[in-house]
Amino acid sequence: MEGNNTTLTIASLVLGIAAIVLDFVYTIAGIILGIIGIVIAVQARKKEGISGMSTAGLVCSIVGVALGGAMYLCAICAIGAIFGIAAGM
Amino acid sequence: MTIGIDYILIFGKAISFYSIIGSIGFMAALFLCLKRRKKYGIEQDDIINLGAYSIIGIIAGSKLMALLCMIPQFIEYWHRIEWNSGFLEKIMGQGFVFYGGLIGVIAAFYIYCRQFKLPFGKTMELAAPAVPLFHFFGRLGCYTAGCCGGIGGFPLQLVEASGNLMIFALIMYIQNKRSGFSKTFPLYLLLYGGMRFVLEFFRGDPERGFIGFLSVSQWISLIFAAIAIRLLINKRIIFTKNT
Repeated sequence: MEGNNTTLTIASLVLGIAAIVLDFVYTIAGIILGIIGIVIAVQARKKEGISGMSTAGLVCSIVGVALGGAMYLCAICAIGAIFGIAAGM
Repeated sequence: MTIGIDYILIFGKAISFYSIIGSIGFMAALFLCLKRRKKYGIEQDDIINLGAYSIIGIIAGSKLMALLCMIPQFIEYWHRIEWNSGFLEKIMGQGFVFYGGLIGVIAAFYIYCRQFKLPFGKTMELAAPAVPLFHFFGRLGCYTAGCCGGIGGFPLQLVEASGNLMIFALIMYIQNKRSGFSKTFPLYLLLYGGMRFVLEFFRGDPERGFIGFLSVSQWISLIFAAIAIRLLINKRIIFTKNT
């Protein structure tokens, strides 16, 4: 690693783990944290070098987004239903 | 664990078959790119990073496009909408547009390639067969969710899935047998755009966004087809050069 700087790596791992945990509590927050985690993990892998921890950060973030997405998305393409429910129709 | 008609219940959380099939499709597309990366000289780590970026591109692009399509409904129901967390959850959880996801993935690839100096053309060529493969699984997922169907309950999703599989097979054939042809991604845009334009006439979900007499997806199909033709006939544009 360049200069042993692991700030981004640690940040991505923390965000990834937090994303997975939050998926079960408040899913949308889990997805957002996972997306930020993915971006930071990719930056970490490029700028701080590939390590076990940066890979774990990327995997955790992807799992956080995928799991949250799977829990959150119920009817993928039903745009019209949203307004039907919202307007009490 | 409970299995319903279109979902699996795990720890009280419903996981739709759509999500599961979509995830399988994503893994298949990623695996395909990893297997074929050497031909395009792209590192394995870059493929994994691009895959991670593409997840963001798919989610952000398809949601943004869906929100754009919802603008007329927002205007129509503005005074009747209750802006609470339930409505926001519905807004964010439902309604995704494939073309938005595709534009999002292209944007994500472009950002990654610009940032880390990867050849964008080669990367898109590598992704050319992966996109219809992923979309094939996506449409199977639509079938399980019961969305994107045809008029009178006709399973249009399966027709589109078959079309995507044929486009995938054609692109794989061209890339393997006609190595001199280096514009398979524009070819994909042209083939899919044409297919989608025709299939949209048989869609049975009128809630989709319309601009005039054509749906938003049909307009995007026309734009994509025009861009694809422009790229295909311009001999100066070579997708596999190292820029």
